[in-house]
Amino acid sequence: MMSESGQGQMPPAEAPTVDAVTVQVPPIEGPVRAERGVARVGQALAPGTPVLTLEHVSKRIGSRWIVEDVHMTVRAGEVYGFLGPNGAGKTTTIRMIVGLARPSRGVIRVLGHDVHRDRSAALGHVGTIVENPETYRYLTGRENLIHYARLAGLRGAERQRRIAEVVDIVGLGARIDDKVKRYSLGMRQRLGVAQALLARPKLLVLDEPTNGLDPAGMREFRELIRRLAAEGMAVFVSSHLLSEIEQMCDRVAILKSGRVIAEAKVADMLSGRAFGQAGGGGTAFGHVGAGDDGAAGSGAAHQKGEGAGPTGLSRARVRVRLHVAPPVEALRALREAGVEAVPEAHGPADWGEPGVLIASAAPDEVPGLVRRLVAAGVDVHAVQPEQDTLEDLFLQLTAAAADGRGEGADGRA
Amino acid sequence: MREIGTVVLNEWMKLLRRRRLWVAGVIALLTVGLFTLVAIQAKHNADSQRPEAQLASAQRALATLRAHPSGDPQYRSTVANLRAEIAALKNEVKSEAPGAPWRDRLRQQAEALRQQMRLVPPAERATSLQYHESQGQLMQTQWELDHNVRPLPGWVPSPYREVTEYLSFAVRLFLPLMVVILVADMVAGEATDGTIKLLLVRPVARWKVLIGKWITSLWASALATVVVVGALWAAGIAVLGNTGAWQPVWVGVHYAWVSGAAAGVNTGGPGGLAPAAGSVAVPLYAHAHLLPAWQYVLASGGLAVLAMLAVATVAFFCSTLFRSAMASTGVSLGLTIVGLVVYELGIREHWVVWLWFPVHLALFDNWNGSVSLQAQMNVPLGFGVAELAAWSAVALAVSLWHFSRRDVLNA
Repeated sequence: MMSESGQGQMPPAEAPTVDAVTVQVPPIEGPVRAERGVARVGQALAPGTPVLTLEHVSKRIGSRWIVEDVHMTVRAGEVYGFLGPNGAGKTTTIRMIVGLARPSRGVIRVLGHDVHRDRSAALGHVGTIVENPETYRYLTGRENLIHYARLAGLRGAERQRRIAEVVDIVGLGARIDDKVKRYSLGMRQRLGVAQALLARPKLLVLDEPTNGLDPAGMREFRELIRRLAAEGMAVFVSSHLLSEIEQMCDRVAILKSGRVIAEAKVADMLSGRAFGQAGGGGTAFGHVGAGDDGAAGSGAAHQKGEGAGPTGLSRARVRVRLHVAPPVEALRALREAGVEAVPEAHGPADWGEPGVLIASAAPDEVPGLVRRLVAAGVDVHAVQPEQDTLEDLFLQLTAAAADGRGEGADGRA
Repeated sequence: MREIGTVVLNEWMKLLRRRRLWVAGVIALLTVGLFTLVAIQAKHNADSQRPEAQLASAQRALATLRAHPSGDPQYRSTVANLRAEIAALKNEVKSEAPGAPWRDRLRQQAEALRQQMRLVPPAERATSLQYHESQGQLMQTQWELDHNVRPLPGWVPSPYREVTEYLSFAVRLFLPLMVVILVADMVAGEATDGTIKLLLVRPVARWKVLIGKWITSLWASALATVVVVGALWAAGIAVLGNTGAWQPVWVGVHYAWVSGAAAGVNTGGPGGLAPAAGSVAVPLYAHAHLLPAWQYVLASGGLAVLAMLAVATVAFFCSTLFRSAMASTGVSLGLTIVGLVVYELGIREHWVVWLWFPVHLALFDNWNGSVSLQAQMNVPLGFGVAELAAWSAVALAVSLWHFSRRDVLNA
């Protein structure tokens, strides 16, 4: 299906590199479906056009504010990641975006249509996968797609053609007439993608889309998402797999306790520009306001100041993988030097053999660190500094922004 | 409208693939199967009750007695009784013979009834049980003469009578069970399976989704009820033959409840205990009329469908309210069972009749007056229809209100 392109690098959305076999979204023939207000224009939107906007969106359940004053703009051609610990309000936010829940305050618009006032106009542009894409298990894959295509207003030959197209895109061809209950989780995910693409959406909203996919499936999925974005679709994706977000997304927002505490380009975050890696104090991040529409292209990153203080990221550390023998000695030496270090997760089975430690240090500390190890009689086989991952940033950010409010008690992400 | 039609199409597709359809089918099959047994039983009973059979057995008994005469003082009276019985049975056989002049007999009967009515003093006629019963019988005899319908002897089983009797019970238990199984997961099932999320993100208003599901529920329930009633009818005719299609059936009978004294009924036993006021139901035929049995069964089927639409709407309401298909089905089934029990035990309470819709599920019993007799208040057809309609309207309104507002956060 979609495995013939590169090794999972992300093509930048601004410079689409669409190869010949990618999903060509064909323009829809026939008149604009005016009766439902769903303007189905064939051409992709110009990159940068705001597709999804959230303005001051808040949600209260009972007496608790699950989501508070969230602003966001997702633009055509970008993949926008949505991160947050469990209970931060991610799912609630996503369900408000796709019309499953109603915001207590604020407005959500898709291409200018209020999702809750002008539902059919707005949701006609949206394709959705909410958590596990639960389709009807007692129907076949094709019957499921017919079901959803009917609700999208597709009829007759057009419906058949479009179903064939999406089945082809996700590569379910051989099994499409089997009952869904006989599908593997990965195949159900593919069916989920197929139904999301049926109506040729301008906005794809994905909640934990790679659940249950094997690594190859994840890569295919990632490539598909990148291609769709390259063709001008706006993609809004939440995931708990930070590496996924890192590889897939152009921009990321981090949600904690119902608030967006940071928003930045992924590239900036990783290169440290976003959080002032070398300098002290970090950048004083302003929030991306509703009027700040130029932000997406500018590379500026923002952290919402909760108390506006330093974030604990003033001197970003890197993870260093140390192949050393014996690791026990190395660990002792590092700890004496005040360096945080732990055996790698899988752990050396035999502590006499060379083992791998993960140390956390600022880049300029590394040479001194090696000298100490050698002085302690440790053989150093390899030193591999690792790039800061989004995960590290994420953990640091969410820890730094802890403000005493309890983690979500509702168990939802 | 077109979007609702789309939803209906989808819902039919799903309904036809669900295992519940098979469960409902099994209930329908059991319902019809049980009735077939009932009909076969009725046929057997009738065979032993036919006058020819009774005559033969009486004659055998007489022959046995006379073969062994005894000096027992009882002997002579026993023989005399048997002889009288044989004479009566011979008469009955003769009057039931195909060529017997039944019209003459009916005319004589009508004349006798008129005589009886004249015997009641005009001042007492308004509340007299005898006057009104005679009036009803006279109307029926006259109807039979007018429509040239020969009365069916009491022992002859008619599939029409069997079907309506069975339906009175089936419509309170079996058919509601079937409908509940069909309907109770229409919405709750989607919440349980989590499919409601991908259903409600479509560009179709929620109320249209709900109305489409409701229409499908009604449609399926009506269809299933029609099939079951039709199958009952067919099974009855298959077992008992097509007898009694034109026999008259009363509908629209009202009652007046008067004291035994006013009714002219001597119900006071040897102890002289007079029945309490309002304890005798005097039938009133002012708005009543007679229908041929086949029309009555047809109408009863229609009324059963109407009642099942109400059951479907209430089950649908449960389905909208509960997020678990199990809870929704359980509560709906519970309502059905409790409905039956409350009907059996509480029908004498007027507030139950006013407020509790399951009392009115056998709408044709409202129509023919038997619910009125049980409830000791007049519960005509319109009463039952209005109550079912009121419950349905409230159930649908609350369903719509709830469904179009609720946040789908947990499913």
